[in-house]
Amino acid sequence: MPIGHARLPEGPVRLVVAEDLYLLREGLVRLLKARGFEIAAATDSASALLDALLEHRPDLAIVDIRLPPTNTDDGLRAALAARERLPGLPILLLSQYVEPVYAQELLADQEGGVGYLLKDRVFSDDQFVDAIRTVVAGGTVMDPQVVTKLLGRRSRSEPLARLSERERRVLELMAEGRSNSAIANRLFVSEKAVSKHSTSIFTKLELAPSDDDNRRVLAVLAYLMATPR
Amino acid sequence: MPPVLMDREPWTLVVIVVLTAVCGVVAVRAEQAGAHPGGSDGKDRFQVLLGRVGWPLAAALVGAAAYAAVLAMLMDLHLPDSSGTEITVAGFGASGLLASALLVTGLLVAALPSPPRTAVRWQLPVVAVVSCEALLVSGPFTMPQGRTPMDLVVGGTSGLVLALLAWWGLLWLTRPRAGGAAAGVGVGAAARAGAAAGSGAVPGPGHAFGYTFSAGRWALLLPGLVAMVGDVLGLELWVPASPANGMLVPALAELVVGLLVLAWVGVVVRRWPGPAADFVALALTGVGAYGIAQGAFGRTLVVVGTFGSPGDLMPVLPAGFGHNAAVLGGIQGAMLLALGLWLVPRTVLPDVRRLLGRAPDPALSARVQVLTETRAEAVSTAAAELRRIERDLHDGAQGRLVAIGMNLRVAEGLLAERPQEAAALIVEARHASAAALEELRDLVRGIYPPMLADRGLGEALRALALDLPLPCETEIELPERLDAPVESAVYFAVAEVVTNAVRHAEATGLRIRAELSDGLLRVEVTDDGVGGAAPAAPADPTAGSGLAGVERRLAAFDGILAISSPPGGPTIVVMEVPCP
Repeated sequence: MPIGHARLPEGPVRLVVAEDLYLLREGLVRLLKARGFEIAAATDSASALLDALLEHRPDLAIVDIRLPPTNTDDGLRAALAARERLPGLPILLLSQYVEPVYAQELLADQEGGVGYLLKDRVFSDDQFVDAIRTVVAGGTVMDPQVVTKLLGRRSRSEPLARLSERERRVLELMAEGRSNSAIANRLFVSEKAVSKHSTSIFTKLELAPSDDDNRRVLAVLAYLMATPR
Repeated sequence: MPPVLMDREPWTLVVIVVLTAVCGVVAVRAEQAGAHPGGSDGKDRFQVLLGRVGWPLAAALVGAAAYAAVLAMLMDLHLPDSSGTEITVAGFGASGLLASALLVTGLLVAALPSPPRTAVRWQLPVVAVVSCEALLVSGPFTMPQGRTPMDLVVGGTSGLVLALLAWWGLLWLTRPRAGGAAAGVGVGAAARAGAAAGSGAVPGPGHAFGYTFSAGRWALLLPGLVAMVGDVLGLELWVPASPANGMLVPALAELVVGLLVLAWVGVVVRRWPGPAADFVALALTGVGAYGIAQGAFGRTLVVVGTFGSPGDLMPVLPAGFGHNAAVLGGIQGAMLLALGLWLVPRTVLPDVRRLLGRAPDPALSARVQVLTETRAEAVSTAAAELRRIERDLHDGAQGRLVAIGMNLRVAEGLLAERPQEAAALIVEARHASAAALEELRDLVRGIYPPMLADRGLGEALRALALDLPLPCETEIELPERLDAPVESAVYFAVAEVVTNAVRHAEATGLRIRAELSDGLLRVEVTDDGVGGAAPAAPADPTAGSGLAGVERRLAAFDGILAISSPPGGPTIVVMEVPCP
């Protein structure tokens, strides 16, 4: 069952953190606690993560992609496995690098409540906390680098080429999971102008228009993820 | 003088033609079996064709011509000007013309410019023998009567001079040139065979004497071998026969048996080239020496017809024939002896040394040489990589970390009194750490792409294709993980190739195909660009990283790279790496 915007937890948001580097894990926990989140568990391996998720059923899992035992993409696999058991479980992946393929796998079930960020984003904790809140609320957050890569790879395709410079910028911010008002603030334009741009984008990309922020993002991402012609 | 001489002429023609054809086929096959790359850089197909077919064919023609010339000479010797024979000028001309045509063709091909280096040595004895034979056919020896011994000496001397001239001319024509025919890029199946045999980068035949014999030499030796073996078995391919004299059936039978012998010899030569070469060298030496001795005692060992049967003189001898035949036999013996002596140090002696354990196996030495070269390249490539990484770390992340530390130290001091300034410094430190991370990420991607580590070559190639600014199809069938070093080498090789295509080919689309079958990993990158891609000149191994670098990188795994990139495109780059 898709999780709508309405579902924001009443009390403090409960998180499970999975990160194998001790310093980074402790730093994350400290930062999150300082921002009023509750840490249900902090784990350092994929199997411990899966157990913790099934046991605590948190509001969000913050997961490093690369975790023991094999130190490859165990974190992603564990998170996806947990999401199969707990549909709609919000997951925020952290990684040292972005791979569109991983974003694709994360988005595959079309349910939203997922995010994929570079670890650097933790530095700017406002942005990081915003992302956490968006994902907890069932939204979708993609790192700007993912979006740039996807747009770059699709830039030669016909419909994208029809977008104006401003529309491309709006599309990028949209894919990063920002709301119309956030986009308006960012671009120093009115919210009305943003919604005009987005209608135009949907028309040009032949996507069904939608009021729902999250579905809008999913539609855009689905479009970008499609194998280029 | 029996008239049968005239009637046997068609048989001799048939034998000459068959012999020539067999020589050509054997020579070409032997050359191909040697995986001779022939400098196939796709630039000059004619040169490649010449390297593959031309030289062995030339050798075959010349070899056959030599023996045809001997035959013509024999018949000429049998021409008594007093006996009212039925042999006509036209009848004699048939074999004489054939011999001359073969000879001229062979010499023409041999005289073409830029012969491959490996084909040089065998041409020298060919030309020597052939020019002497030619002189014998056309010169003063062939007139049985009215010649003094002085004529023979003059003719013999001029024959030798001619042979020496031809020899020197060929040496001059084929002298090594700077940056000459270094082994280029291997091609498909041949390279596959080479790689499977663990000798992927071994140059073609002629590189090492011994078991890797050049086809041309075989083309020359084969007729001799046939005649020798046939004679040992009591067969004479040139036996007189005709329906008229009732010898057709025996002659036919002998011809069939002779051809079987020929085939058998071909098989022996192909299967056991080393021992066969030793045998030929020793036999030529022995028979040659025997021929000289016979000549000295006034008898003859005239080559083909009565090879090895010195007592078997011609049925009816015109006056003066015996003397001429003895001189001819002596000269013939000298030729064979020279050829045998030339071959012995190249065949028998290395084999003997090997048997005595004093010389290494040539295949083993070639392998050792290849390994030494590729290891040196791998080590220096790895060292260069380490230097690059060290430089990148030093100039990038390391410097930034120092700056971050300094900023934080200053901020620490300012914190109590001027918190505003301290905050600014801390923000700066945070930005610097983000930049350092970015640099480290790029560096890691260049050392070992995370996708390769996480998901293996297939997925990494797909991700690579997704990252390209051009549409790139992928057809990848790699069900299992390969050895990490192979995956890494192949990944970076493909990355380099597609980068080239994107940068230089003006392509609008790419395709990457990868498959693993029979222990061979094969990756093909095709673009629809302008073509004209080529590895750096082999003459300059230090030149460029590019495709030459890719080739070196793959060579460390016995892998090869082949390029087809005609002007106008498309460009196809094939990489093959054995993955046992």
